[in-house]
Amino acid sequence: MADLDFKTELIEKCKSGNHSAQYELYNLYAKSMYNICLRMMKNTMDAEDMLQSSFIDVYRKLHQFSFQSTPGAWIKRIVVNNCTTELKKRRLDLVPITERTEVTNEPFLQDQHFDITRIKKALFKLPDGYRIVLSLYLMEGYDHQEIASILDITESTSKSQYSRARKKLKQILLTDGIDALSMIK
Amino acid sequence: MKDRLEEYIKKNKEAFNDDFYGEKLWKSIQKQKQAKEVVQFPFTKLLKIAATALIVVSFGFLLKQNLIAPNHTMSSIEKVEASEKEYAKLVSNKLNEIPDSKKNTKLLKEMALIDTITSELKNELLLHSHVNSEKVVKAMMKNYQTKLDILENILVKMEENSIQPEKDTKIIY
Repeated sequence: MADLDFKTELIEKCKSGNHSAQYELYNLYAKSMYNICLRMMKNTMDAEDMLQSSFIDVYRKLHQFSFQSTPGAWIKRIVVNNCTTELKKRRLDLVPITERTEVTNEPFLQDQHFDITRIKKALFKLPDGYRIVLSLYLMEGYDHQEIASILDITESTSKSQYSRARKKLKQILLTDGIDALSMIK
Repeated sequence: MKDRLEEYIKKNKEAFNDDFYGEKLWKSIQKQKQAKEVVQFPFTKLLKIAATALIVVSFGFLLKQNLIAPNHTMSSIEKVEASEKEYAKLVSNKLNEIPDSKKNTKLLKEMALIDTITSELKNELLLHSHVNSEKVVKAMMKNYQTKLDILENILVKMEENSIQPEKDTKIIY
């Protein structure tokens, strides 16, 4: 409750053009929003550009924010939408029609595969469309209906994309594990 | 059945975040925000004022056409030209105070638009002896003053934006 009061007051101050409050809002959300941008855009330079333009939009649209969601969720949606628009502009294939390396069986992971750094590396090796759906679902907590609306795809496409992305991620983790093992040997 | 990898990622999602030091980016955001605020100055409001002035004067002109037409003397035109010079000097000084004002095409375009409206008013004054010179002059002066107000507001906003924010804010999410 205290957190909500603090954020409500902060947003109101930002709306009235208080620069210190705007800086505080930025500090509050910059790290998490930057990481969303990074996962979607795949490189730091593009991620920073997207974060910058998203915060400009946040301050510009702040008067429209009426606390129907949390400020974090509202800012996150602006960030995700901006990244998606940019990716679409680049004609990036958000939903690959055919996946050459189609994985049929769900690979089985061992304990050693459950490592943040390894999973993080594997995530960035995923095809763009897979990485985005998987990030939106697992990291940003959107459901398939929301992902469908964000990416302008059907809910079932989002579900199948996610399922393929998860299998592919496991396959990369297994392959990387074998590579690492062969290097030791 | 829940997937183990899915559960692991969801549970540890914060750990997947890279560190981010956003001071440099904040400065760029501030700069861009400042530039947008300058560009987004309520030009529409200003144009409405200028257009209203023109309508008021035109209405006055139509009325005067059917009423007594006071012969405005050269002195009112001379007065206008003297004030015009004075305002032009003030506007030029203010423009020089605003960095890159000469490159701000939107600002320059809007300024030119007010000048066009003002010069139309001046033509009314010069060409039609029966117009209400007092009202025309007043409207012209109002337009000059509006130009100065815009520039003054931009300078005030720039000054406000240059104030540095507090630096001891924590990063919490």
